[in-house]
Amino acid sequence: MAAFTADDERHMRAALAEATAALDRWEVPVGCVLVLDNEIVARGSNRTNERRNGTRHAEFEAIDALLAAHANDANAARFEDCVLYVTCEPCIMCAGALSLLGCRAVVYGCGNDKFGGNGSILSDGGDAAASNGARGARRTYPSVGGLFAEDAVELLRRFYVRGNPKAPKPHRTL
Amino acid sequence: MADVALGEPTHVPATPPPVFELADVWTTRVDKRACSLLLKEACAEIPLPDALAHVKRVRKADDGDDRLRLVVCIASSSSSSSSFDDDRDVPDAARALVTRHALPPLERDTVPAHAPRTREQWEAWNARWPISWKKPMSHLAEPAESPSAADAETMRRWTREAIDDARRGGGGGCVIANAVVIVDPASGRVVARGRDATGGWRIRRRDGEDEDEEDARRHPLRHAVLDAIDAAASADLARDPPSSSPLPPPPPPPPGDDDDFGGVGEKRRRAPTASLAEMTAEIGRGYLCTGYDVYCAREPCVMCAMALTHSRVRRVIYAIPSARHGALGGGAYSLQKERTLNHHYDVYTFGVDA
Ligand SMILES: [Zn+2]
Ligand SMILES: [Zn+2]
Repeated sequence: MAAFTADDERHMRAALAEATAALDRWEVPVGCVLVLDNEIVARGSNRTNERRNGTRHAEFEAIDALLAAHANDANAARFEDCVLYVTCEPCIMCAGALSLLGCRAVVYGCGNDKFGGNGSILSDGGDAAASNGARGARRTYPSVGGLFAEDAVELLRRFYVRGNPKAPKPHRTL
Repeated sequence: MADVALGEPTHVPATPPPVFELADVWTTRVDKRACSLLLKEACAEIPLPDALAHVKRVRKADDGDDRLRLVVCIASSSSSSSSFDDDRDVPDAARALVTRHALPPLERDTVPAHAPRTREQWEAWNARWPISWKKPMSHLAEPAESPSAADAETMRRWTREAIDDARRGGGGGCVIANAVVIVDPASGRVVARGRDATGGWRIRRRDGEDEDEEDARRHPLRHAVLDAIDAAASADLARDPPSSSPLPPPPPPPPGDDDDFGGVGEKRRRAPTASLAEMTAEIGRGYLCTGYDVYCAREPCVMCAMALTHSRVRRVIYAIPSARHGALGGGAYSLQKERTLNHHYDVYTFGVDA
């Protein structure tokens, strides 16, 4: 188990608050914060139902919030100096996005057994470049999990037992 | 992007088909009447590794001997272990079995090392040593044939449009790397279009009349695929705005913490047994593009390939493979091989070199 600092815990609590807010909106409860120089510069939580878009994960919401705060100037947003704290391990898509942005590091809560892009399903032993699902992307980043994992799982469980009646559904027969 | 000619689309399999390789085993000969007992003991005490689950342990001898031949255990592949007694890879249980039944001297042999993917492979490899063949699970099955002529023509038509879109986007000084057309195969209707709008992110140079529009769209992650998925979602929201009915109250806390939870139990049943995989599967929900076909000028990267998995599309067709950034078999990586994903789409490429 990695040693987490008091600052790590503070940031992950903020991510958990985002996830709880998502649960209250009937979204899959995953939340995150982007941290620059030890201060939270952007927050995000899952909005796939609201935006009817399966790609609107917490990570994308936070990335867009940070970009918007810098008039869409990615260089000014300084992603390469940001650390992401997210309640659930980024999926393969988000891992690819974080890698494209050159994110500095990722701290996550629980693992993502279905879509994890940081090693849960993509690791193939020894291939460091494969370890965050971003092969072929700009670069890889270090990531560590397990911070407040039980709280993250508990939120997911609360969502899971209730089901997702608001999930975006196509308005047509398939 | 130079003018490109589209030939025949080819299916990109999840994994390259296995090649014929052999694994070393120790075999013995056994009387027909004694065989079933010995086979039972061998299977229970000396199971073959999972990778050799396709190997049948008993076969008829092919040299006129009446007795059957039985695979006792795997053998070391190093040729120095030429005798059973010297082979360090032989498990103790195998030695015990040989001693207990006073089996005749063991013979080295080889069996097909990989499970066959197709019936043709099964027929060819089975001749070496009997093996079983299981049809792949349906969502992992590879289409047996190349697309029909009509299918291929449809693919060419829309891929051509994606390429034209990519080229048209080149006005305005923006570097356009890719364009995407999402099509509903049932109606033949275009659902959404997307263009790469990352240009100018690192390369700061803009001129041309649509500068403002492009500047507003510019985003380091606005690859053509994400742009198109976004467009599909926006169009759906415009067509069918969210209802103003208030959301139901937030879900209750989990069982154990609170006695009110779930009332009489029908909710309790699933909660404690849900695995993390089941719960995280919820993260991959996003059905809006379910069943659509996605035509790309260039092969999607890993971010975009996974976005298409989340969107539950039916097929992805691309013109130009990307050895460096492609995630659908054009380079070293192929998302299709991640079998734990709960949705799989079929991938086709025109293999255009550009
Ligand atoms: Zn994600
Ligand atoms: Zn991409």
